[in-house]
Amino acid sequence: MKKLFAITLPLAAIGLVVAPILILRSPNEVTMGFIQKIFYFHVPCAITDFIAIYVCGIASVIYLIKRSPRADAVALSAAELAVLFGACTLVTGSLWGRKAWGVWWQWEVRLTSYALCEMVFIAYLLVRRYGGPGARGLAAGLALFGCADVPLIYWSVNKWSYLHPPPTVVMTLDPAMRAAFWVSFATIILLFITLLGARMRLERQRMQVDELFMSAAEAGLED
Amino acid sequence: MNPQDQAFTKVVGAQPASGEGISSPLLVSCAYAFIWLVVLFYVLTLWRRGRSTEREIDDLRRKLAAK
Repeated sequence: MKKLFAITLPLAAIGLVVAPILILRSPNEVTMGFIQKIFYFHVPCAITDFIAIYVCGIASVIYLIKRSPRADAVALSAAELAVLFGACTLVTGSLWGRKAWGVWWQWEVRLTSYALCEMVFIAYLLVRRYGGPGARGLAAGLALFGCADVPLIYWSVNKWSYLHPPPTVVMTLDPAMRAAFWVSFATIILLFITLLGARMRLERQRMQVDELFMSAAEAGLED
Repeated sequence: MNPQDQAFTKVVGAQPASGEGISSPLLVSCAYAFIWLVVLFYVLTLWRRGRSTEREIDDLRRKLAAK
């Protein structure tokens, strides 16, 4: 874990300094102007959110099949990050929408399905916190619902959306805008890896506490 | 359609905020700041939870060693 932090932390720190410089130096978009610069961190947050959701979903499937505490720890850590990056995506999108569309929020398919996905993962964390015995299995099932929402969010723009830009904007980005986007994307991914590692370390410590409690109970020290 | 439905209506009270009136650099800065504040808050909660778990581990180890 220390080796991972030694690589990801300095790189993320460099990205934190370099990305805003590149974003400010990138040209303004012709129709939206300066506000389009939110794109450089809104889209990386959304992609990172999808990665966190799938990490949580895959780990949840492994937990449901094998009942592995390690897989459960990965799922819980990724779910927290899915809520974090989901909130960042929704808030940055709302700020962008206020200027570009004139409204903070619009009940169109992409935005609504995204908000629904965020609520599924908030529900996941609430179930884990207050669900009592059996909460791990129930939360794992919820994570699968969250995963099922991701393709709907992605394709909704092509099928039903009338406001949100399509996902093709990333691949058709002007060469002068690419460096700012990819550096921001790399920074946020590195941050995700670092935070996931740190959160999993905490979960390992909690497992250690449980084991020590068991030993203490066996020794007659704890109730 | 009732002609009154198409008539201009004067604003009563405060003028509603318009997207045009909010400066783009302010919104971009707010969006960027929000991300880093949320991440910073999360790192802080991780650190606090980690410290409390470490204390719990030390406490239990001490108790077990004393036994």
